[in-house]
Amino acid sequence: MNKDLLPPEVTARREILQKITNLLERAGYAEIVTPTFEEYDRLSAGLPEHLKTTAYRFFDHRGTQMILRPDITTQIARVAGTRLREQNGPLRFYYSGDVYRAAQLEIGQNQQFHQIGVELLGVSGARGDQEILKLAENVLRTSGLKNYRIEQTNAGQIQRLPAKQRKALQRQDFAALGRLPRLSELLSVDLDYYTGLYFECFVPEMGYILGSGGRYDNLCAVFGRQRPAVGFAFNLDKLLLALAAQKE
Amino acid sequence: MLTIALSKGYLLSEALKVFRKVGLRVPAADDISRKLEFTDADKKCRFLIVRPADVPVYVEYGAADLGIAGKDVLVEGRHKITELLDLKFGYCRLVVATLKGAYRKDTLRAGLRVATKFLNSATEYFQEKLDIDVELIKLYGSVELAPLDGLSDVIVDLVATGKTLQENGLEVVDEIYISTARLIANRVKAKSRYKEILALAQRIKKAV
Repeated sequence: MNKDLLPPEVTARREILQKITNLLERAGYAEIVTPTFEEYDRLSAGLPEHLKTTAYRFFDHRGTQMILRPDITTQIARVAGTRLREQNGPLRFYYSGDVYRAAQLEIGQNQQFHQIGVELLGVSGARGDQEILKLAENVLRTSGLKNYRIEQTNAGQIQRLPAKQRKALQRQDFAALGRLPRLSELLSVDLDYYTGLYFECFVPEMGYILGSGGRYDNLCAVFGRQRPAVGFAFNLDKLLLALAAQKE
Repeated sequence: MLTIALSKGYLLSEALKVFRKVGLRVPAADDISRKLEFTDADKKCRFLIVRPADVPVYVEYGAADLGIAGKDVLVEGRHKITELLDLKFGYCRLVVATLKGAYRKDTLRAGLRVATKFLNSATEYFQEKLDIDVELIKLYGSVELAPLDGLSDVIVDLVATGKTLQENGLEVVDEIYISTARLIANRVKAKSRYKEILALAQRIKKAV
């Protein structure tokens, strides 16, 4: 459920956000602020299916269908393809804001939660991947977490597997595959969205991921200009819960 | 220490046998009747004894790292967990059954009343496989009684030997799936404690 945030908690949130935004600014990322809601038709082409079905949608006073943003990455891809169309890049953005999802995609998820994330547009392949992976690790370290782990896999490689094997992997059903998993196979990749690198960040104390990211080279083209893209997002509440669990 | 959720009931003694085979000193099922929680003698693993349908819940939320649950419970509950191994015990089938001679698979029709504990599996079967609308009645036990007393035309239930069905004058019309016990893991713990979990899973795989 969504909840009110009261003083001690608000202070802790502000402190950790401050640490992370300082880090991202120093790394050359500029903050971008996108609207909380906008016209559904403007955004829908770039939304992966699982976000479309969980997004809050409503009609405004003129009868236009609106969407409460379920994700900020899609909005940034829209900006990059429209207002920033003529800029060649690379573009480095970070964002910090609430997103809204009606259905729980993960356990313990509020319908409204705060994401802090980055997008690196216009840097393809390993060079962009490495920059983003390093930055994600710095976010975890700067947050003050211990024993954090980043595990990665490749969505492109999974995409090329035979259908039966790919589906069993998507369901995380290794009994059906008849063999035990390699560590990289335990990551649940959204194959409609990611095209290459995919990674997840977690700590041993918690039963859920703190943040995830990867390469999605097909997204920007939907909004009018093809650009390679890679990024990540962290869930602020989960970072705070992980920190609290490690202090115990 | 890994925490492992086990199903109370018919899967428990077989599950404990598996852990004894891999060298964990755990008590027999009869000796833990009232305990809800215990560790093996060498304090390597902690075990939770919960209702079968609750095993994947404990695992999904990370309160248990691993669990042993029937495939039937996993199919019905649709929890986001990782299925590591087929443990091959606890064999049973989810079937459609009726009073002897009342229906065949091809005479199942729209409007039938179906009594079951397995609402999701029954819905999927009638809607997606047979494409007919039926009225589902959720029951919590003694499902075999429903057609005898006119509560339903059909039941969807688990059968192991088929003996209970026979004793109640029922027969199997179709099979929906076969279920066996599975070793399951929390999706994040499977990653963050991969080495420990994989080592145990490998030993269990050799033992079953």
